[in-house]
Amino acid sequence: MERVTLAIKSELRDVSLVGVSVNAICCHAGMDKQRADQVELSLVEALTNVIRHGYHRQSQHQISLVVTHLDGVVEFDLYDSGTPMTDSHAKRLVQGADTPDSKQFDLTAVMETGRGLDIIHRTMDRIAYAREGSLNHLHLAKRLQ
Amino acid sequence: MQFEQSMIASALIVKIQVSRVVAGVASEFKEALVACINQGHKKIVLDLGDVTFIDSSGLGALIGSLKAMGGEGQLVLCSACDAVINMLKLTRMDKVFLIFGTPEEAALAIS
Repeated sequence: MERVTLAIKSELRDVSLVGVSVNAICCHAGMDKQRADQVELSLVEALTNVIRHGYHRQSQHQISLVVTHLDGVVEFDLYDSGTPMTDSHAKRLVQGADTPDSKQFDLTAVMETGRGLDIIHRTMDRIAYAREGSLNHLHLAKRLQ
Repeated sequence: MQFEQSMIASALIVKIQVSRVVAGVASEFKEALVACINQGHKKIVLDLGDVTFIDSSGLGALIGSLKAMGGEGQLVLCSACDAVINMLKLTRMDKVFLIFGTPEEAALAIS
């Protein structure tokens, strides 16, 4: 088992540091580049959501990410102490949401925001979210292949 | 955010000189594109050759810019790397934005 813990303050400018780090870790573990890019995207979306909606863009709050590589799977455990995700958002994250048929796209109906949870749902192999005491715990996992 | 602007035929080429279009820069990115639109440019090619990563905030800025055209004119993309193209496909925005290989191809297509 390989494990590393990354920690940042709740600053949007620091999110990319975690993104490029998890991408490199996934490639190091043997994941192909496309899947590693998907992991990077998911973690960037998750961290951005924490900063925007959990910490309401307030800086100096702690966010921790534990990355574990075990038995062909890379797991990500994200912890923060911000406002918990609502039940509806947690359900959307874990279960996904209905998306329009791609042949029926109408630009006026295409939203500018609100894609982060769907991106995570579509790209990760395993997703769980829970409030544990004073912490929010988001668990994500991606198989190497 | 740094932009480089040029013209090919009647199309404005806007090359974004930043590698990551993410939440921290998305507003500035959209403001710059909307400024081009407000200057009267109706055929815009966004050159993503230097962009290695875009998140949903960056994508939202792209969508907002396209909407700012009000259905008049075109905003197309070119020179996108695999990660950006895969993100557009993942979110099905490849059905909304035309993507070309080079600025020249894009400019010719919309001029």
